[in-house]
Amino acid sequence: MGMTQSGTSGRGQAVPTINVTPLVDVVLVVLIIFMILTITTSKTFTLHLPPKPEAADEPPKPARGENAPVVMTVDANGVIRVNRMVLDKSEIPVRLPRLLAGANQRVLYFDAHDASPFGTAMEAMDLSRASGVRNIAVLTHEVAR
Amino acid sequence: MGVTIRSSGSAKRLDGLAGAPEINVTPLVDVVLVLLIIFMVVAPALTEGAPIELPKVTRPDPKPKDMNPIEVAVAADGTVLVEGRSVSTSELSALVERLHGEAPERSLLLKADERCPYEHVRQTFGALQHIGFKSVLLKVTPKQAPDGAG
Repeated sequence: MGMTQSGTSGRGQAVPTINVTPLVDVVLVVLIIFMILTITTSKTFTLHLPPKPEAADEPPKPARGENAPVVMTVDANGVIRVNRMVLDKSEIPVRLPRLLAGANQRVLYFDAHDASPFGTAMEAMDLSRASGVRNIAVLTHEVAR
Repeated sequence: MGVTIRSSGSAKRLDGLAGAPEINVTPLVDVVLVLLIIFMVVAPALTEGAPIELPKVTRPDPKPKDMNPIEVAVAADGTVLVEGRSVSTSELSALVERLHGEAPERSLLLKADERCPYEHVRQTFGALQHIGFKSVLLKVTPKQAPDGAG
């Protein structure tokens, strides 16, 4: 905040004026810093989409035993099931990687009930990622009931 | 912003008036700064008047993937917005398909409200799948992992 002596009054007194230029400079720099920070601090969570079904598609044969897809569902009450087996949230970190390894799968398919809030579904997906699942793919037709 | 009248040069000075009028800009700058900060805090949460509560996640992606994605938002009541504009389900496909066609390298960022029923989110996933997106970035808020698990 520099004081500039600009002009004099009739009695020779200095009139102080505030030089706002450095203030504006600082404000602009702070604004730019915030703009960059909001871009870089916003976090994302990547989900995969399965390839879209072909036009003349026949329903895929449900695979059994080995190489069967692992599907996680969340029902309207927030109960998590993996391949129709109810899993408690505390069991997931241990059992989900085993289920994937047992089925020789690297992708976890996910669906939630229509009425289930998205936050609950996200919690289940977050838990899966925390259990070491790298690839989560969301199903686009309803399987959760 | 501020107007400063400088009494420079003796020719312009009126003999009867002593001292130049000054506007004190300090309170003005204070108010502007406070407004700026308020808008900076509020603006990211607002999309056409509908605040979106992002889901909280302990394991977000380690690095930001795309600086300029196509933004699609799903509000708590299921309203879908593309780049801040409210659209119907059929418009969503057409609009995003056009944006995707113009710039296929842009990824898709989905801002879905955590209170939104999953039905609407799944419908949006379905529309994006038909357009040809292979993955979707969900916008999330980072959360501390409980007792440092994992």
